[in-house]
Amino acid sequence: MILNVGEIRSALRGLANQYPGLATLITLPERTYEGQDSYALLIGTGASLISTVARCPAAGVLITSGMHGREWGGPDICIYFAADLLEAYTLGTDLTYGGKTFSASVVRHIVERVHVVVFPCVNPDGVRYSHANPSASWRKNRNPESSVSTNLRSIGVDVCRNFDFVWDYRSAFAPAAIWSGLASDDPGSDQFHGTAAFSEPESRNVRWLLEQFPQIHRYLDLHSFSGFVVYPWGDDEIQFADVSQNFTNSAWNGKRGTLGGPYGEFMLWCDRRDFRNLARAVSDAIAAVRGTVYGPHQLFLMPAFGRATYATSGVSFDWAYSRHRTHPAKRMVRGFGVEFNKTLKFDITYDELVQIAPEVSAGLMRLCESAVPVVSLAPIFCRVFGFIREILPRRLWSPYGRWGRVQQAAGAVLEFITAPFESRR
Amino acid sequence: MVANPAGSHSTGDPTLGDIYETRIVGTPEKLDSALRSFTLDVGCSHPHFEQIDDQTFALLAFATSPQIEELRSAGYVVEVNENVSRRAESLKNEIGAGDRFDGGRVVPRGFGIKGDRRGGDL
Repeated sequence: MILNVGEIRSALRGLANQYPGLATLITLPERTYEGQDSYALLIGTGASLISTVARCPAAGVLITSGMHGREWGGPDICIYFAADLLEAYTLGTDLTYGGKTFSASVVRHIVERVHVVVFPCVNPDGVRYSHANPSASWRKNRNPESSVSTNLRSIGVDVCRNFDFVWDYRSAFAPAAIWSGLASDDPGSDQFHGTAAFSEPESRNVRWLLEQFPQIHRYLDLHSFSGFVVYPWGDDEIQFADVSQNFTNSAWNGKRGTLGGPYGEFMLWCDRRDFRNLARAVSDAIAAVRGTVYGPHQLFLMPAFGRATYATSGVSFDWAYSRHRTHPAKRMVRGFGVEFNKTLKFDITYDELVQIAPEVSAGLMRLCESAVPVVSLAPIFCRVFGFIREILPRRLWSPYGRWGRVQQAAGAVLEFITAPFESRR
Repeated sequence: MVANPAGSHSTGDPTLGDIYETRIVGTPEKLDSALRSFTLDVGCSHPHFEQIDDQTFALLAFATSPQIEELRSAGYVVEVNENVSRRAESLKNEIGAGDRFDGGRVVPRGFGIKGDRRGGDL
Protein backbone atom coordinates (compact mmCIF):
# COMPACT_ATOMS: atom_id res chain seq x y z
CA MET A 1 0.00 0.00 0.00
CA ILE A 2 0.99 3.62 -0.54
CA LEU A 3 2.40 5.18 2.63
CA ASN A 4 0.14 7.60 4.46
CA VAL A 5 1.61 10.73 6.03
CA GLY A 6 1.90 9.18 9.49
CA GLU A 7 3.70 6.17 8.04
CA ILE A 8 6.14 8.40 6.20
CA ARG A 9 7.10 9.93 9.54
CA SER A 10 7.28 6.57 11.27
CA ALA A 11 9.40 5.13 8.46
CA LEU A 12 11.92 7.95 8.87
CA ARG A 13 11.98 7.38 12.62
CA GLY A 14 12.43 3.67 12.05
CA LEU A 15 15.44 4.24 9.81
CA ALA A 16 17.00 6.65 12.30
CA ASN A 17 16.42 4.12 15.10
CA GLN A 18 17.77 1.19 13.11
CA TYR A 19 20.89 2.93 11.84
CA PRO A 20 22.18 5.19 14.64
CA GLY A 21 25.33 6.96 13.56
CA LEU A 22 24.37 6.60 9.91
CA ALA A 23 20.94 8.21 9.83
CA THR A 24 19.66 11.15 11.82
CA LEU A 25 16.11 12.41 11.95
CA ILE A 26 15.84 16.14 11.31
CA THR A 27 12.79 18.07 12.46
CA LEU A 28 12.23 20.97 10.08
CA PRO A 29 11.72 24.36 11.72
CA GLU A 30 8.41 25.32 10.08
CA ARG A 31 5.09 23.72 10.89
CA THR A 32 2.49 23.55 8.16
CA TYR A 33 -0.77 25.52 8.20
CA GLU A 34 -2.53 22.48 9.68
CA GLY A 35 0.13 22.21 12.37
CA GLN A 36 2.03 19.22 11.08
CA ASP A 37 5.73 18.85 11.72
CA SER A 38 7.95 17.96 8.78
CA TYR A 39 10.89 15.59 8.92
CA ALA A 40 13.95 14.79 6.86
CA LEU A 41 16.64 12.15 7.20
CA LEU A 42 20.35 12.88 7.06
CA ILE A 43 22.35 9.88 5.85
CA GLY A 44 26.10 9.68 6.20
CA THR A 45 28.77 8.49 8.57
CA GLY A 46 29.02 10.91 11.46
CA ALA A 47 25.59 12.16 10.54
CA SER A 48 24.44 12.36 14.14
CA LEU A 49 26.79 15.28 14.75
CA ILE A 50 24.65 17.66 12.76
CA SER A 51 26.32 20.83 13.91
CA THR A 52 29.71 19.44 12.97
CA VAL A 53 28.47 18.07 9.69
CA ALA A 54 26.96 21.41 8.73
CA ARG A 55 30.40 22.98 8.80
CA CYS A 56 32.09 20.09 7.05
CA PRO A 57 33.17 20.87 3.49
CA ALA A 58 31.93 17.51 2.25
CA ALA A 59 29.66 16.79 -0.69
CA GLY A 60 25.92 16.72 -0.19
CA VAL A 61 22.73 15.74 -1.97
CA LEU A 62 19.19 16.88 -1.15
CA ILE A 63 16.24 14.83 -2.36
CA THR A 64 12.71 16.13 -1.91
CA SER A 65 9.26 14.88 -2.82
CA GLY A 66 5.62 15.31 -1.89
CA MET A 67 5.54 18.96 -2.91
CA HIS A 68 2.28 18.28 -4.77
CA GLY A 69 -0.32 16.37 -2.77
CA ARG A 70 -1.79 14.32 -5.59
CA GLU A 71 1.47 12.92 -6.92
CA TRP A 72 1.24 9.64 -5.04
CA GLY A 73 4.29 7.49 -4.59
CA GLY A 74 7.02 10.15 -4.47
CA PRO A 75 7.44 10.05 -0.68
CA ASP A 76 7.39 6.24 -0.79
CA ILE A 77 10.22 6.19 -3.33
CA CYS A 78 12.33 8.43 -1.08
CA ILE A 79 11.74 6.18 1.94
CA TYR A 80 12.55 2.97 0.08
CA PHE A 81 15.63 4.51 -1.52
CA ALA A 82 16.95 5.60 1.89
CA ALA A 83 16.20 2.16 3.33
CA ASP A 84 18.08 0.45 0.49
CA LEU A 85 21.11 2.69 0.81
CA LEU A 86 21.37 2.21 4.57
CA GLU A 87 20.80 -1.55 4.48
CA ALA A 88 23.28 -2.16 1.66
CA TYR A 89 25.92 -0.08 3.45
CA THR A 90 25.39 -1.89 6.73
CA LEU A 91 25.57 -5.30 5.05
CA GLY A 92 28.53 -4.25 2.88
CA THR A 93 26.82 -5.53 -0.26
CA ASP A 94 26.07 -4.40 -3.79
CA LEU A 95 22.70 -2.80 -4.42
CA THR A 96 20.79 -4.00 -7.47
CA TYR A 97 17.68 -2.66 -9.16
CA GLY A 98 16.72 -4.86 -12.11
CA GLY A 99 19.53 -4.51 -14.63
CA LYS A 100 21.42 -1.85 -12.70
CA THR A 101 23.89 -2.72 -9.95
CA PHE A 102 25.73 -0.30 -7.71
CA SER A 103 28.80 -1.95 -6.25
CA ALA A 104 29.42 -2.17 -2.51
CA SER A 105 32.26 0.27 -3.08
CA VAL A 106 29.90 2.86 -4.60
CA VAL A 107 27.44 2.38 -1.73
CA ARG A 108 30.27 2.83 0.75
CA HIS A 109 31.58 5.95 -0.97
CA ILE A 110 28.13 7.54 -0.99
CA VAL A 111 27.51 6.92 2.71
CA GLU A 112 31.03 7.81 3.83
CA ARG A 113 31.81 10.75 1.54
CA VAL A 114 28.44 12.33 0.75
CA HIS A 115 25.77 13.60 3.08
CA VAL A 116 22.42 12.59 1.64
CA VAL A 117 19.43 14.53 2.99
CA VAL A 118 16.06 12.97 2.16
CA PHE A 119 12.95 15.12 2.70
CA PRO A 120 10.19 12.82 1.44
CA CYS A 121 7.05 14.80 2.21
CA VAL A 122 7.49 18.55 1.77
CA ASN A 123 3.75 19.24 1.75
CA PRO A 124 2.19 16.87 4.30
CA ASP A 125 -1.07 18.84 4.46
CA GLY A 126 -1.59 18.51 0.72
CA VAL A 127 -0.59 14.83 0.68
CA ARG A 128 -2.90 14.05 3.60
CA TYR A 129 -5.77 15.89 1.94
CA SER A 130 -5.18 14.07 -1.34
CA HIS A 131 -5.18 10.70 0.42
CA ALA A 132 -8.41 11.51 2.24
CA ASN A 133 -10.07 13.09 -0.83
CA PRO A 134 -8.55 11.40 -3.89
CA SER A 135 -11.31 12.69 -6.16
CA ALA A 136 -10.17 16.27 -5.58
CA SER A 137 -6.85 15.70 -7.38
CA TRP A 138 -5.32 18.11 -4.85
CA ARG A 139 -1.98 19.70 -5.80
CA LYS A 140 -1.43 22.64 -3.43
CA ASN A 141 -0.89 22.98 0.30
CA ARG A 142 -3.88 23.79 2.51
CA ASN A 143 -3.19 27.40 3.45
CA PRO A 144 -6.53 29.25 3.19
CA GLU A 145 -5.08 32.76 3.58
CA SER A 146 -5.98 33.88 0.04
CA SER A 147 -9.07 31.76 -0.43
CA VAL A 148 -12.63 32.87 -0.98
CA SER A 149 -15.44 30.99 0.72
CA THR A 150 -17.34 30.39 -2.51
CA ASN A 151 -14.51 28.45 -4.13
CA LEU A 152 -12.96 25.51 -2.30
CA ARG A 153 -10.31 25.26 -5.02
CA SER A 154 -9.01 28.67 -3.91
CA ILE A 155 -7.52 27.11 -0.78
CA GLY A 156 -3.80 26.52 -0.88
CA VAL A 157 -0.60 27.57 -2.60
CA ASP A 158 1.38 25.63 -5.19
CA VAL A 159 4.58 25.00 -3.21
CA CYS A 160 6.53 24.43 -6.41
CA ARG A 161 5.66 27.90 -7.71
CA ASN A 162 6.55 29.58 -4.41
CA PHE A 163 10.37 29.57 -4.64
CA ASP A 164 12.25 32.79 -5.28
CA PHE A 165 13.14 32.35 -8.93
CA VAL A 166 11.38 34.85 -11.26
CA TRP A 167 8.51 34.51 -8.78
CA ASP A 168 7.04 37.87 -9.87
CA TYR A 169 6.12 36.41 -13.24
CA ARG A 170 3.87 39.26 -14.33
CA SER A 171 6.91 41.57 -14.33
CA ALA A 172 9.55 39.08 -15.41
CA PHE A 173 7.93 37.43 -18.43
CA ALA A 174 6.74 38.63 -21.80
CA PRO A 175 2.94 38.68 -21.92
CA ALA A 176 3.09 36.12 -24.75
CA ALA A 177 4.98 33.70 -22.50
CA ILE A 178 2.31 33.51 -19.84
CA TRP A 179 0.22 30.35 -19.79
CA SER A 180 -1.83 28.56 -17.17
CA GLY A 181 1.00 26.32 -15.92
CA LEU A 182 3.67 29.01 -15.57
CA ALA A 183 2.27 30.29 -12.26
CA SER A 184 -0.83 32.17 -11.24
CA ASP A 185 -1.88 35.01 -8.97
CA ASP A 186 -5.41 33.62 -8.90
CA PRO A 187 -5.94 31.62 -5.69
CA GLY A 188 -8.41 29.44 -7.58
CA SER A 189 -5.65 28.16 -9.84
CA ASP A 190 -3.72 24.98 -9.12
CA GLN A 191 -0.57 27.02 -9.81
CA PHE A 192 -1.35 29.85 -7.35
CA HIS A 193 2.11 31.02 -6.36
CA GLY A 194 1.27 32.57 -2.98
CA THR A 195 1.43 36.12 -1.69
CA ALA A 196 5.23 36.34 -1.92
CA ALA A 197 8.19 34.14 -2.70
CA PHE A 198 8.72 31.81 0.26
CA SER A 199 5.38 32.80 1.76
CA GLU A 200 4.79 29.13 2.60
CA PRO A 201 6.33 27.06 5.40
CA GLU A 202 6.87 24.15 3.02
CA SER A 203 9.16 26.05 0.66
CA ARG A 204 10.90 27.69 3.62
CA ASN A 205 11.69 24.25 5.00
CA VAL A 206 13.46 23.33 1.75
CA ARG A 207 15.36 26.61 1.88
CA TRP A 208 16.32 25.89 5.51
CA LEU A 209 17.85 22.57 4.54
CA LEU A 210 20.06 24.20 1.92
CA GLU A 211 21.07 26.88 4.44
CA GLN A 212 21.71 24.37 7.21
CA PHE A 213 23.73 21.97 5.08
CA PRO A 214 25.99 24.10 2.90
CA GLN A 215 27.79 21.00 1.67
CA ILE A 216 24.76 20.19 -0.51
CA HIS A 217 25.67 20.63 -4.16
CA ARG A 218 23.14 18.35 -5.82
CA TYR A 219 19.37 18.63 -5.50
CA LEU A 220 16.63 16.50 -6.97
CA ASP A 221 12.90 17.15 -6.60
CA LEU A 222 10.61 14.21 -7.38
CA HIS A 223 7.29 14.85 -9.10
CA SER A 224 4.89 12.97 -11.33
CA PHE A 225 3.94 12.28 -14.02
CA SER A 226 5.42 11.79 -17.53
CA GLY A 227 8.90 10.23 -17.28
CA PHE A 228 11.49 12.96 -17.68
CA VAL A 229 14.69 14.14 -16.01
CA VAL A 230 14.70 17.94 -16.18
CA TYR A 231 17.21 20.65 -15.35
CA PRO A 232 17.33 24.49 -15.32
CA TRP A 233 16.44 26.86 -16.67
CA GLY A 234 12.67 26.87 -16.73
CA ASP A 235 12.17 30.51 -17.65
CA ASP A 236 13.86 30.67 -21.06
CA GLU A 237 16.43 29.17 -23.38
CA ILE A 238 19.98 28.82 -22.09
CA GLN A 239 22.58 31.13 -23.63
CA PHE A 240 26.29 31.48 -22.84
CA ALA A 241 27.22 34.80 -24.37
CA ASP A 242 25.50 37.62 -22.50
CA VAL A 243 25.88 37.68 -18.73
CA SER A 244 23.53 40.64 -18.45
CA GLN A 245 20.65 38.45 -19.57
CA ASN A 246 19.97 36.88 -16.23
CA PHE A 247 17.03 36.55 -13.90
CA THR A 248 18.30 39.25 -11.53
CA ASN A 249 18.42 41.94 -14.21
CA SER A 250 15.16 43.89 -14.22
CA ALA A 251 16.20 45.61 -17.47
CA TRP A 252 15.02 42.41 -19.18
CA ASN A 253 11.68 42.31 -17.45
CA GLY A 254 8.81 41.72 -19.83
CA LYS A 255 11.04 39.96 -22.33
CA ARG A 256 11.53 36.50 -20.84
CA GLY A 257 9.96 33.20 -21.74
CA THR A 258 9.54 33.11 -25.51
CA LEU A 259 11.48 30.80 -27.79
CA GLY A 260 13.64 32.81 -30.17
CA GLY A 261 12.82 36.01 -28.29
CA PRO A 262 15.32 38.70 -27.34
CA TYR A 263 16.17 37.07 -24.02
CA GLY A 264 18.01 33.91 -23.05
CA GLU A 265 18.90 32.91 -19.49
CA PHE A 266 22.66 32.99 -18.98
CA MET A 267 24.47 29.85 -17.89
CA LEU A 268 28.17 29.02 -17.87
CA TRP A 269 29.06 26.53 -20.58
CA CYS A 270 30.48 24.09 -18.05
CA ASP A 271 27.31 24.22 -15.96
CA ARG A 272 25.19 23.34 -18.95
CA ARG A 273 27.60 20.55 -19.81
CA ASP A 274 27.37 19.17 -16.28
CA PHE A 275 23.58 19.47 -16.23
CA ARG A 276 23.27 17.58 -19.49
CA ASN A 277 25.76 14.90 -18.48
CA LEU A 278 24.21 14.38 -15.06
CA ALA A 279 20.65 14.32 -16.40
CA ARG A 280 21.76 11.77 -18.98
CA ALA A 281 23.51 9.70 -16.32
CA VAL A 282 20.37 9.64 -14.15
CA SER A 283 18.26 8.83 -17.20
CA ASP A 284 20.62 5.98 -18.19
CA ALA A 285 20.52 4.50 -14.68
CA ILE A 286 16.72 4.54 -14.75
CA ALA A 287 16.65 2.93 -18.19
CA ALA A 288 19.09 0.23 -17.10
CA VAL A 289 16.60 -1.14 -14.55
CA ARG A 290 13.94 -2.36 -16.99
CA GLY A 291 14.27 -0.26 -20.11
CA THR A 292 12.01 2.66 -19.23
CA VAL A 293 13.30 5.83 -20.87
CA TYR A 294 13.09 9.06 -18.87
CA GLY A 295 14.31 11.60 -21.40
CA PRO A 296 16.68 14.33 -20.17
CA HIS A 297 15.52 17.87 -21.02
CA GLN A 298 16.00 21.46 -20.07
CA LEU A 299 12.77 22.41 -18.30
CA PHE A 300 11.95 25.26 -20.70
CA LEU A 301 12.48 23.02 -23.72
CA MET A 302 10.27 20.11 -22.71
CA PRO A 303 8.74 18.51 -25.79
CA ALA A 304 5.58 20.23 -27.01
CA PHE A 305 3.70 20.64 -30.23
CA GLY A 306 5.33 22.58 -33.02
CA ARG A 307 7.78 25.20 -31.76
CA ALA A 308 5.77 25.96 -28.65
CA THR A 309 7.62 26.25 -25.35
CA TYR A 310 6.20 26.69 -21.89
CA ALA A 311 8.07 28.67 -19.25
CA THR A 312 7.76 28.16 -15.50
CA SER A 313 8.42 30.40 -12.51
CA GLY A 314 9.09 29.77 -8.82
CA VAL A 315 10.21 26.17 -9.35
CA SER A 316 12.29 24.53 -6.62
CA PHE A 317 15.30 23.29 -8.57
CA ASP A 318 15.60 26.45 -10.69
CA TRP A 319 15.76 28.39 -7.43
CA ALA A 320 18.30 25.99 -5.90
CA TYR A 321 20.63 26.50 -8.85
CA SER A 322 20.02 30.26 -8.96
CA ARG A 323 21.17 30.80 -5.34
CA HIS A 324 24.86 30.97 -6.15
CA ARG A 325 24.20 33.87 -8.51
CA THR A 326 22.08 35.87 -6.09
CA HIS A 327 24.34 34.93 -3.16
CA PRO A 328 27.86 34.36 -4.55
CA ALA A 329 29.13 33.07 -1.20
CA LYS A 330 26.78 30.11 -1.36
CA ARG A 331 27.79 26.87 -2.97
CA MET A 332 26.47 26.11 -6.41
CA VAL A 333 23.69 23.53 -6.27
CA ARG A 334 22.91 21.62 -9.41
CA GLY A 335 19.15 21.17 -9.27
CA PHE A 336 17.10 18.57 -11.11
CA GLY A 337 13.53 17.44 -11.33
CA VAL A 338 12.36 13.92 -12.08
CA GLU A 339 8.82 13.41 -13.33
CA PHE A 340 8.29 9.75 -12.50
CA ASN A 341 5.57 7.45 -13.88
CA LYS A 342 4.91 7.28 -17.60
CA THR A 343 1.25 6.26 -17.29
CA LEU A 344 0.06 9.90 -17.26
CA LYS A 345 -1.86 9.79 -14.01
CA PHE A 346 -1.19 11.06 -10.52
CA ASP A 347 -2.77 8.28 -8.51
CA ILE A 348 -0.80 5.08 -8.71
CA THR A 349 -1.44 1.72 -7.18
CA TYR A 350 1.03 -0.13 -5.00
CA ASP A 351 1.61 -2.62 -7.83
CA GLU A 352 2.63 0.26 -10.08
CA LEU A 353 4.84 1.68 -7.34
CA VAL A 354 6.67 -1.64 -7.13
CA GLN A 355 7.62 -1.19 -10.80
CA ILE A 356 8.45 2.51 -10.63
CA ALA A 357 10.31 2.78 -7.31
CA PRO A 358 13.33 0.64 -8.31
CA GLU A 359 13.80 2.68 -11.49
CA VAL A 360 13.71 6.01 -9.72
CA SER A 361 15.83 4.68 -6.85
CA ALA A 362 18.49 3.74 -9.40
CA GLY A 363 18.38 7.31 -10.71
CA LEU A 364 18.74 8.68 -7.18
CA MET A 365 21.67 6.35 -6.51
CA ARG A 366 23.32 7.55 -9.70
CA LEU A 367 22.91 11.17 -8.68
CA CYS A 368 24.44 10.41 -5.28
CA GLU A 369 27.27 8.53 -6.96
CA SER A 370 27.97 11.59 -9.09
CA ALA A 371 28.28 13.65 -5.92
CA VAL A 372 31.15 11.56 -4.56
CA PRO A 373 34.18 13.84 -4.84
CA VAL A 374 36.39 12.82 -7.76
CA VAL A 375 39.37 14.43 -9.39
CA SER A 376 38.17 16.52 -12.29
CA LEU A 377 39.81 19.40 -14.10
CA ALA A 378 36.65 21.02 -15.40
CA PRO A 379 35.42 22.63 -12.15
CA ILE A 380 38.85 24.16 -11.61
CA PHE A 381 38.88 25.70 -15.07
CA CYS A 382 35.30 26.78 -14.61
CA ARG A 383 36.20 28.68 -11.46
CA VAL A 384 39.14 30.30 -13.21
CA PHE A 385 36.95 31.42 -16.10
CA GLY A 386 34.31 32.69 -13.71
CA PHE A 387 36.90 34.59 -11.68
CA ILE A 388 38.38 36.23 -14.77
CA ARG A 389 34.91 37.26 -15.89
CA GLU A 390 34.22 38.90 -12.54
CA ILE A 391 37.39 40.98 -12.56
CA LEU A 392 37.15 42.08 -16.19
CA PRO A 393 35.72 45.53 -16.87
CA ARG A 394 31.98 45.25 -17.25
CA ARG A 395 32.10 46.63 -20.81
CA LEU A 396 33.95 43.50 -21.94
CA TRP A 397 31.36 41.04 -20.78
CA SER A 398 28.13 42.89 -20.50
CA PRO A 399 26.08 43.46 -22.45
CA TYR A 400 27.14 41.57 -25.54
CA GLY A 401 30.75 41.51 -24.34
CA ARG A 402 33.57 39.55 -25.88
CA TRP A 403 34.43 37.44 -22.87
CA GLY A 404 31.38 35.25 -23.25
CA ARG A 405 32.51 34.20 -26.72
CA VAL A 406 36.08 33.58 -25.54
CA GLN A 407 34.79 31.51 -22.67
CA GLN A 408 32.47 29.51 -24.87
CA ALA A 409 35.19 28.70 -27.41
CA ALA A 410 37.71 27.86 -24.69
CA GLY A 411 35.12 25.69 -23.00
CA ALA A 412 34.50 23.63 -26.11
CA VAL A 413 38.23 23.04 -26.57
CA LEU A 414 38.70 22.22 -22.89
CA GLU A 415 35.80 19.80 -22.90
CA PHE A 416 37.34 17.95 -25.83
CA ILE A 417 40.75 17.75 -24.15
CA THR A 418 39.67 16.79 -20.65
CA ALA A 419 36.79 14.41 -21.35
CA PRO A 420 38.95 11.26 -21.64
CA PHE A 421 40.57 11.92 -18.26
CA GLU A 422 37.47 12.49 -16.22
CA SER A 423 35.96 9.70 -14.23
CA ARG A 424 32.33 8.63 -14.10
CA ARG A 425 30.76 12.10 -14.07
CA MET B 1 -16.95 10.53 -26.01
CA VAL B 2 -16.69 8.02 -23.23
CA ALA B 3 -18.08 9.76 -20.21
CA ASN B 4 -20.90 12.14 -19.55
CA PRO B 5 -19.36 15.16 -17.81
CA ALA B 6 -22.73 16.06 -16.41
CA GLY B 7 -22.72 12.82 -14.36
CA SER B 8 -23.01 12.77 -10.61
CA HIS B 9 -20.11 13.68 -8.35
CA SER B 10 -17.84 11.10 -6.83
CA THR B 11 -17.56 10.78 -3.11
CA GLY B 12 -14.94 12.80 -1.26
CA ASP B 13 -15.44 16.54 -1.06
CA PRO B 14 -18.54 17.00 -3.24
CA THR B 15 -18.27 20.74 -3.68
CA LEU B 16 -15.04 20.47 -5.67
CA GLY B 17 -16.71 18.79 -8.65
CA ASP B 18 -15.56 15.77 -10.62
CA ILE B 19 -12.53 16.01 -12.86
CA TYR B 20 -12.30 14.33 -16.24
CA GLU B 21 -9.36 13.35 -18.32
CA THR B 22 -9.90 15.13 -21.62
CA ARG B 23 -8.15 15.51 -24.93
CA ILE B 24 -8.40 18.88 -26.59
CA VAL B 25 -7.88 18.31 -30.29
CA GLY B 26 -6.64 20.89 -32.76
CA THR B 27 -3.77 22.50 -34.55
CA PRO B 28 -0.65 23.52 -32.58
CA GLU B 29 -1.75 27.14 -32.77
CA LYS B 30 -5.22 26.36 -31.48
CA LEU B 31 -3.91 24.28 -28.58
CA ASP B 32 -1.30 26.87 -27.71
CA SER B 33 -4.06 29.45 -27.64
CA ALA B 34 -6.08 27.23 -25.26
CA LEU B 35 -3.14 26.95 -22.88
CA ARG B 36 -2.65 30.70 -22.83
CA SER B 37 -6.33 31.67 -22.66
CA PHE B 38 -7.78 29.16 -20.18
CA THR B 39 -6.79 27.97 -16.74
CA LEU B 40 -6.10 24.36 -17.61
CA ASP B 41 -4.73 21.55 -15.47
CA VAL B 42 -2.30 19.80 -17.81
CA GLY B 43 -0.23 17.87 -15.27
CA CYS B 44 2.71 18.76 -13.10
CA SER B 45 4.96 21.11 -15.05
CA HIS B 46 4.32 21.04 -18.76
CA PRO B 47 1.68 20.07 -21.34
CA HIS B 48 1.42 16.50 -22.62
CA PHE B 49 0.30 15.89 -26.13
CA GLU B 50 0.09 13.29 -28.84
CA GLN B 51 0.32 13.86 -32.55
CA ILE B 52 -2.68 12.65 -34.54
CA ASP B 53 -1.54 13.72 -38.00
CA ASP B 54 0.71 16.35 -39.57
CA GLN B 55 -1.34 19.27 -38.36
CA THR B 56 -3.43 17.84 -35.56
CA PHE B 57 -2.48 17.22 -31.96
CA ALA B 58 -4.33 16.19 -28.83
CA LEU B 59 -3.55 17.97 -25.58
CA LEU B 60 -4.12 16.12 -22.32
CA ALA B 61 -6.05 18.21 -19.81
CA PHE B 62 -7.90 17.51 -16.58
CA ALA B 63 -11.09 19.51 -16.49
CA THR B 64 -14.41 19.84 -14.69
CA SER B 65 -17.72 19.86 -16.50
CA PRO B 66 -18.01 23.68 -16.49
CA GLN B 67 -14.48 23.96 -17.86
CA ILE B 68 -15.28 21.47 -20.62
CA GLU B 69 -18.38 23.41 -21.55
CA GLU B 70 -16.43 26.65 -21.53
CA LEU B 71 -13.85 25.20 -23.90
CA ARG B 72 -16.51 23.84 -26.22
CA SER B 73 -18.31 27.17 -26.22
CA ALA B 74 -15.09 28.77 -27.35
CA GLY B 75 -14.94 26.40 -30.32
CA TYR B 76 -12.52 23.78 -29.03
CA VAL B 77 -12.99 20.10 -29.77
CA VAL B 78 -12.88 18.31 -26.41
CA GLU B 79 -12.96 14.54 -26.10
CA VAL B 80 -13.96 13.47 -22.61
CA ASN B 81 -12.40 10.26 -21.38
CA GLU B 82 -12.17 8.85 -17.89
CA ASN B 83 -13.68 10.38 -14.77
CA VAL B 84 -10.39 10.63 -12.88
CA SER B 85 -12.11 11.68 -9.66
CA ARG B 86 -14.06 8.47 -9.64
CA ARG B 87 -10.98 6.42 -10.51
CA ALA B 88 -8.91 8.06 -7.78
CA GLU B 89 -11.69 7.54 -5.27
CA SER B 90 -11.75 3.84 -6.14
CA LEU B 91 -8.04 3.70 -5.33
CA LYS B 92 -8.52 5.04 -1.81
CA ASN B 93 -7.87 1.58 -0.42
CA GLU B 94 -4.37 1.78 -1.96
CA ILE B 95 -3.46 4.24 0.80
CA GLY B 96 -2.15 2.64 3.94
CA ALA B 97 -4.33 2.65 7.03
CA GLY B 98 -2.88 2.91 10.50
CA ASP B 99 0.87 2.83 10.99
CA ARG B 100 2.68 -0.20 9.63
CA PHE B 101 5.97 1.12 11.02
CA ASP B 102 4.56 1.35 14.53
CA GLY B 103 5.90 4.81 15.29
CA GLY B 104 9.41 3.85 14.21
CA ARG B 105 9.73 0.44 15.86
CA VAL B 106 9.43 -1.33 12.50
CA VAL B 107 12.03 -0.55 9.83
CA PRO B 108 11.08 -0.09 6.17
CA ARG B 109 12.97 -2.06 3.54
CA GLY B 110 13.42 -0.93 -0.04
CA PHE B 111 12.93 -2.79 -3.30
CA GLY B 112 16.62 -3.19 -4.13
CA ILE B 113 18.47 -6.48 -3.90
CA LYS B 114 21.29 -6.31 -1.39
CA GLY B 115 23.88 -8.88 -2.31
CA ASP B 116 21.84 -12.06 -2.49
CA ARG B 117 19.10 -10.69 -0.24
CA ARG B 118 15.93 -9.57 -1.94
CA GLY B 119 14.32 -6.34 -0.72
CA GLY B 120 10.66 -5.50 -0.30
CA ASP B 121 8.58 -3.58 2.16
CA LEU B 122 6.32 -4.91 4.84
